[in-house]
Amino acid sequence: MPLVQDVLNVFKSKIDQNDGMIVLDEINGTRVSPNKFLELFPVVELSYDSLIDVDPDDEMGYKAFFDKCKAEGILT
Amino acid sequence: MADITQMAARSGKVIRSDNTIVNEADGINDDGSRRVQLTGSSVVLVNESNFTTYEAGASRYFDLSGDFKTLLVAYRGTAVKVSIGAVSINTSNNFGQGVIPFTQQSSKNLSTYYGNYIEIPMLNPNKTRVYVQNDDTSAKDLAIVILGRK
Repeated sequence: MPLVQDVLNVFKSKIDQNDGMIVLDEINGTRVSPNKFLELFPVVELSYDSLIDVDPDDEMGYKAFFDKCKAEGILT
Repeated sequence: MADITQMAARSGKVIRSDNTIVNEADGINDDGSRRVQLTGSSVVLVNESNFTTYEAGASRYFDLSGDFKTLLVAYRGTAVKVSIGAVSINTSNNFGQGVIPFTQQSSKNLSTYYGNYIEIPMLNPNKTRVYVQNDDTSAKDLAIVILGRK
């Protein structure tokens, strides 16, 4: 199971250096803490497919963020 | 008609319910007019945001300044659970001492326009960062209104 440090490493370029939060949308400013992220996505590995599988209907609203991360090469 | 110049002056001292003694005559000016002090508080609009989608567990922050005693954070949204937190930011743009963690604030279930608000202290008049977090398990659209009480 990934730890907070793993989340920080994978999403390094998306972390706000002032408060350590993952910035989900730079335009509207929404963000989530790494701890909360792990709570919402209890995956075995931090890959695009495994994260999408947790919420296939995108009720939690993270698909756009994951898609962007995949396009930027952050998630594979 | 009575000649008041021939009457003895009386003291204006009265006893209040907490047993302290005050002289109500001290509130009368030389010309007989009364001194009146109005007390109360005023509330002004500090920030108003458009509807924004908050992912599950996600938050946004609002950096505010102003000489307010407290901030009232209200929000529009349907049947969501929202919590509020705040931190004081110092002049170096670092987080200061004052912190209101999310866990110390009430979460409220809201279903009506401005149906509820949460009032928090203004931690730092120069910069207080207020967080609004969607505690629901699904994404929600929220519009935030922040008022300052002086």
